[in-house]
Amino acid sequence: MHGLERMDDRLQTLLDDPRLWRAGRQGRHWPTLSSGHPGLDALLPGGGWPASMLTEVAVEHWGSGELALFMPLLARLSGDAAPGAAGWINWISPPFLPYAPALAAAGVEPARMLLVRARDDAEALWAAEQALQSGSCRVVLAWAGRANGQRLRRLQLAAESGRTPLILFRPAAALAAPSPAALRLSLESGAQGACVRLVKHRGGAPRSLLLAALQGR
Amino acid sequence: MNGAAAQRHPDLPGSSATPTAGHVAPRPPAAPLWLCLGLSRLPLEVRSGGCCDEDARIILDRAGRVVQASAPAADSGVAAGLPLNAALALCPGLVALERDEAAERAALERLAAWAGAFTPVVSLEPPAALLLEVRGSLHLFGGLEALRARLHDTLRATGHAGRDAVAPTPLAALWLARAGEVEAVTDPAALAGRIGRLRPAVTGWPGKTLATLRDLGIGSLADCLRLPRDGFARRIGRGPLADLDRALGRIPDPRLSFRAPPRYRGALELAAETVDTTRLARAMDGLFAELEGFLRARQRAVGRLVIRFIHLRRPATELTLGLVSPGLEAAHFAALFAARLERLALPAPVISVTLEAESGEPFDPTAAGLFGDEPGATAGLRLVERLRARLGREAVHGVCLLDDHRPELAWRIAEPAGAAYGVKPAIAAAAGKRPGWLLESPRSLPSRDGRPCFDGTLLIESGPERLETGWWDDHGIARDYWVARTPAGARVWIFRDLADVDGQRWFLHGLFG
Repeated sequence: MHGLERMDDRLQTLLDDPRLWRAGRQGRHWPTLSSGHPGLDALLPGGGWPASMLTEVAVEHWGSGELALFMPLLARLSGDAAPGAAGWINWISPPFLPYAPALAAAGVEPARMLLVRARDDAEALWAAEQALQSGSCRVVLAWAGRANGQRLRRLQLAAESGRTPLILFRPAAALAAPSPAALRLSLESGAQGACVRLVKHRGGAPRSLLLAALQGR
Repeated sequence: MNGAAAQRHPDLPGSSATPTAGHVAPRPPAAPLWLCLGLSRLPLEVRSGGCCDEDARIILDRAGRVVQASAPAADSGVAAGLPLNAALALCPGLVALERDEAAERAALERLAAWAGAFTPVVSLEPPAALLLEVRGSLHLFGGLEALRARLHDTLRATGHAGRDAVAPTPLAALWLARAGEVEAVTDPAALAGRIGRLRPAVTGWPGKTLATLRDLGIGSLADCLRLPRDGFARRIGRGPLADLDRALGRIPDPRLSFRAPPRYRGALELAAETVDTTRLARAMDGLFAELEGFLRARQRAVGRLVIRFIHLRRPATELTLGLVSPGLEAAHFAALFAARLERLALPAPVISVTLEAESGEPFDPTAAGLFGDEPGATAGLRLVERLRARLGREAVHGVCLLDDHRPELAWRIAEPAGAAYGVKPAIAAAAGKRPGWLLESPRSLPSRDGRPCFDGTLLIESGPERLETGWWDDHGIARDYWVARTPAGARVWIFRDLADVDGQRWFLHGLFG
């Protein structure tokens, strides 16, 4: 009897964990990839970045931590060679040059990097769709200013069909428009430095997290 | 029975070693089976870019008589043999084109090369038929009907229409194809009966001979076969008699096997001048399908295609399609072409297109992929091709690390996946903290009271790290690098140029992101 109670307690702790998915209670569940930041994983539904969906990141100032946020993911995707996994870490029209020596130092494999320069947003989104559909990318990182809802839905579908995560970086103003993204984040500068705000995540309330706290810097 | 036979011929397995043992072959050589592919629409097809039945058009011979009419023209009553005036009277909006026999011959030869994907023995039967010996290919395609279905599917992709017939002899196959007899004759014993039902006109004998036969009241080849041989030879001719013997397999009918040229070169005249890219894409699809057959027949793959759009009174527009790894699939070529076409500005309407491919290299379907044996490797290269086709070659690239202390020279652009996997130069590994974002070239920063500004006055966090190197070439640097923070919270990498005379100018070189 005593043992059973202890079991109940343990079960309750398990059930309270937001990373645990329970049929019928939290609605849809999707496979995830650990973000590499335990503090963030604890808040994200499923315990990480959506593995085959659109994640939208609104960034107020380039360079305020958007690379650091995803670096552990990129490093892990560079390394593991799960059978059947295809190769590229695809960068589509980034605002600056992703500096290979720094990325390599963080564990990202340069041989997996594929850089794509697009002339405008439409081309960048087209390239992202192609990359997702090909199923040959481990992750697609794309930067685009303008993107309408229909375009984003197509990207979301392409990510699902290609089973590839898409991280789409947008200017802060893009948050005003609704989006079909499974997860929307915002990187904002605050009094204590940049912080990550979870704007939309299925099955969770908006939360804010200090980026510095994640990185311990 | 079998055991007894084996006892009588104990040396059966080794019989090929003894030249006198030819009579103990395990089974007789399979009788040949000929498939005749009749391409009767060729005159119209070569002059109308694969879409010959959209409008009323006719092909005229030198004497000005109709050779062939498109479906809309034929519906108005235009038939072969009519003079142009009569055709125009029947169908006023008609487009009349002169026959181009050289183009027909070229198209027939390209199709012969294409047909090499089905059998190694292809023979030309000008002006508009191909003879394929298919006995040896039957098991590859899963039987005769499967082969014929496949042949028709791929023929349709080349933009040509054809009718085929199958018989044990080439001439019988040709006659059956001309008569439109679809049902295959595989049994030599049934051949005479099937041939007999045909009218003498299918043989293509001279008009005088056919007239003589008609005057004698002979309406079918069976009637011809019933006549006494010497009488037939005397009254009709030895040539027709020999033809009948060849068709029935009584005398041999050796055929010259077609030898394809080493390189593919296709050309197609469009139905009308056009700048419409969907029309161009459709015309190219036919040529790509021909090319695929050409390459499959030779088990070769190509890495580069050259397409030329020919304009009237203007130099041709040339377009090159580059493949990351050699390929041979028409659908792949077409997808690359479609992506490329989207950013192509045609200076003038196109009247015809040509497609050329290099001789190619042996195709190895089992070649190891880019990332070892991962199945996604081919898809990875396809993606690079597709992106390059639309965005341009220089817009898609990979990176590799270099052993250099200078930040801008510690890496360079490389072919995608050109860098060695898992190799890190010693210097890059040992270097201090580097930013994840680098500016293409350092940007000069304004300064206020001697402090650099970028999104507000910068707050220095750490530094300096002195990089003074490269004096041995023209790109030497002497800089003090600092890590600074903007008021908004972004961390940046800035430097002061030591070679600068006053040493006060700041440059932004990277963001830590």
